[in-house]
Amino acid sequence: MNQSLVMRPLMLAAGLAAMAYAGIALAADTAAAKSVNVPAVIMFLVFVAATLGITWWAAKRTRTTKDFYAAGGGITGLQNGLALAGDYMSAASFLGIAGLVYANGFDGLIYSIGFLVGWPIMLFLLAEKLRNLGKYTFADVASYRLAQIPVRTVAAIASLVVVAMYLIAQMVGAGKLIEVLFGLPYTYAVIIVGVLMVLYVTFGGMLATTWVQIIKAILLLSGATFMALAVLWSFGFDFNAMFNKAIEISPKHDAIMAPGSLVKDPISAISLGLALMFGVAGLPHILMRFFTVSDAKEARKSVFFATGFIGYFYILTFIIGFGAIILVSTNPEYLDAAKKLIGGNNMAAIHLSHAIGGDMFLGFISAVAFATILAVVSGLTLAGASAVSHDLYASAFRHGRVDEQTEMRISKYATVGLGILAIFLGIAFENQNIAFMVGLAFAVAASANFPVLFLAIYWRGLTTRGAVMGGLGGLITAVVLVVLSKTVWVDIFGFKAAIVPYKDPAIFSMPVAFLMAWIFSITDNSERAKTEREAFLRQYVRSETGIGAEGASKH
Amino acid sequence: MNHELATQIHADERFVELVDTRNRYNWTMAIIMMAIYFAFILLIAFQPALLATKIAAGSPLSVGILGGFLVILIAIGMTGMYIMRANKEFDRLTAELRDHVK
Repeated sequence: MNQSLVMRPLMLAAGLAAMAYAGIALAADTAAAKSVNVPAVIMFLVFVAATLGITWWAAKRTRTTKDFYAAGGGITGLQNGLALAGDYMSAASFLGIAGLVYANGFDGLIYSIGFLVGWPIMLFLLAEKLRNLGKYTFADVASYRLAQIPVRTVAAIASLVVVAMYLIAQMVGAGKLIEVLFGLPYTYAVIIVGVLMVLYVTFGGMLATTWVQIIKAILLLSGATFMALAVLWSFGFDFNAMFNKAIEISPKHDAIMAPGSLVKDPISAISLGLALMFGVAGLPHILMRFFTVSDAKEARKSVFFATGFIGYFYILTFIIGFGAIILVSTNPEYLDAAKKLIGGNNMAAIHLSHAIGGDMFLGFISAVAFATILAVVSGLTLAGASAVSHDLYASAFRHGRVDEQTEMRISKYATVGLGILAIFLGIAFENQNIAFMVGLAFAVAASANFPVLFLAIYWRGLTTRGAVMGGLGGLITAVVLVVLSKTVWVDIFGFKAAIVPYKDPAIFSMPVAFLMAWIFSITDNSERAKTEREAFLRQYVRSETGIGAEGASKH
Repeated sequence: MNHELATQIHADERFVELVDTRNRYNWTMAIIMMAIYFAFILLIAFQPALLATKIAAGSPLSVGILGGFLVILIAIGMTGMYIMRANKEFDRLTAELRDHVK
C-alpha cells in the first residue's frame, strides 16, 4: 500500500514528462512537414498537466472498488450533470453536428434533437430506479433478481460491443483531427490518446475520469458559447439578420432552412429516432455515472443538469454552423482549390474559431477538441474495464468470491488491455469509413441493453432465460442488420448491392429483443423462474423507495 | 430487504399513493416527450414542405427550425418540471414512508 502510494505519483510524473517530451519532440519533428499550431500545443499540454495532476490527487483517494467504479458515490448532482454532459458531448457531436449544419442547415438539427430527447425519457423512466437498485454497473440492476452469470455475461458482451464501436469512432476521429490541428502524425496521435486515457483510468478511476469530464465540459461549453455569441454579436443579436445572410451566402440558399436529403424514408427516420431516443438509456458509460451520486435525488438532478447543458450545447452548435456558413464558406483562407472546406465539413467549427479569434482562439478550440476526445475515451474505457472486472471476472467467473484488491487489479489490467486494443483498432481503422460506428453503438445500446434493463425493472415476469435471449437477440439482430446494410456490405466489403435496404436497424432489432425476452420468459416454467418472479416484489419496493439502496462511502 | 418487510411496505397506503402518483406522472411525461419527438420525425419524413414554410411572410425563419428549437426547449423544460414536482411531492411522500417503516 505504502509502496503504491509512492509509486503512483512517480509514475504519473514520469507519464507527464514523457507526454510533454513527446509533444515537443513531435512538434519539432513534424514542423517542417506540416505547420504546427503552437498555441494549441501549449494549451493542450496545460490541459494534460492539469488532468494528470487531478489523476494524482484522485489516485490517493481511490482505495476501494467503490472509489474506483463509482468515485465513492460522493459526486453531487451538478457535478455529475456536467460529467454526463462531458461524456455525451463528444468531438464527433461538436464538430460533426456543426459540420452538418454548415453543409445542410436544418438537417443538422435532426441529429441534435435525436441525441437530446433520450435524456428526459431516461429521467422519467429509469434514472432514480437505476440508482436505487445498482452498485457499479447497469448489469447490477439487470441481474438484481436474476441469475448473475448468464445475465451479467450478456450485459458485459453487449457493453463491450458498444464501447468498442464508440472507441473506434473516437480514436479514428481523434487521430484525423489531431493530424490536422496539431500537425502530429496519425499513429502518434492515436498512441498519445490511448496512453493518456489509460493513465487517467488506471490511476484515478472514476474520480479522475469524472473531473476530467467536468473540466472538459466547462471548457467546451465556454468555448462554444463564446463562438456563438461572437456570431450573434456580429448581427447585433438579430437572428433574422443572421438567417437572411446565411440564406444569401449558402449555395443551397433557402433550402438550408428546410428538411433536406438526410431523412430518406419513414422507416429509416423512425428507426434512427428509436436508436437515438432509447440508445442513451443503454450506453454503459452513461448508465455507470448514476452510481457516482449519493442517492436517487442526486441522480435525478444530474439528468436535469445534463439535459440542460446538452440542449444548450446543441443550440450553440446550430448557431456555430450558421456562423460558419457566413464567416467561413466565403473566405478563401479556409477553402481548398475545389472551393471545399480544408479538412472537410467537420472542420467548420474549427475554421470558425480562427475567423473569430485568430490563432489563439483556434488553439484554444483545438485543445478543447482534443480534450473532449480524451475525456470521452476515458469514460468509455472505464465502462469497458468495469464490464470485464466487475461483471465478467468478479461476478461471473469468480461468483462474487473475490477480494476488493484483486478486483481492482483486474480492472486495471482490463484498462491497459482496452487501451492497447483501442490504439490497435484506431490504427487498423484509419482508412475505413467509420461513420456507421456511433450509429451502431446507439443501435446496440437501444436493442440489447435498454430492453433488458427496462424489462428487469418494470416487468415482474422477466426471467433469466428471457433476459439472456432478449439481450442476445437484440445484439445479434442489430449487428447483422448493420453488416448487411449498405454502410458495411457495400461501402466496406465492396459488394454491389446491400441485402438490407435500411441502414438503421433499431426499428427491427428493438422489437426482436422485447419479443424474445417476452416469449422466453412466459414459457419459462423452471423453479428458478418462479423464484425470480417472487423476488420482483422486493426489487420493486427498493426501486421505488430507495430503502436498502447503496449509500455513499464516508471518507 | 426481506420479503416480509417488502410485503408490508407494498401494502402500505403511502407506498401505493407514492407509486401510483409518480408512475402515472412519469409515464405521462415520457409519452408526451415521445409523441412530440416522433411527431417531429414523421413531419420530416412525410411533410417536409410544411416544415419549410416560413413562420410569417418575409421572415427567414421556417416552421421546422422554430419547431426544432422548441423541441429542445420542451425537453429541458419537462425535465425541470419533473424535478420540481419530485423534489417537493415525491420526496416528501418517500420520506414519510421511510420514517414510518423504520
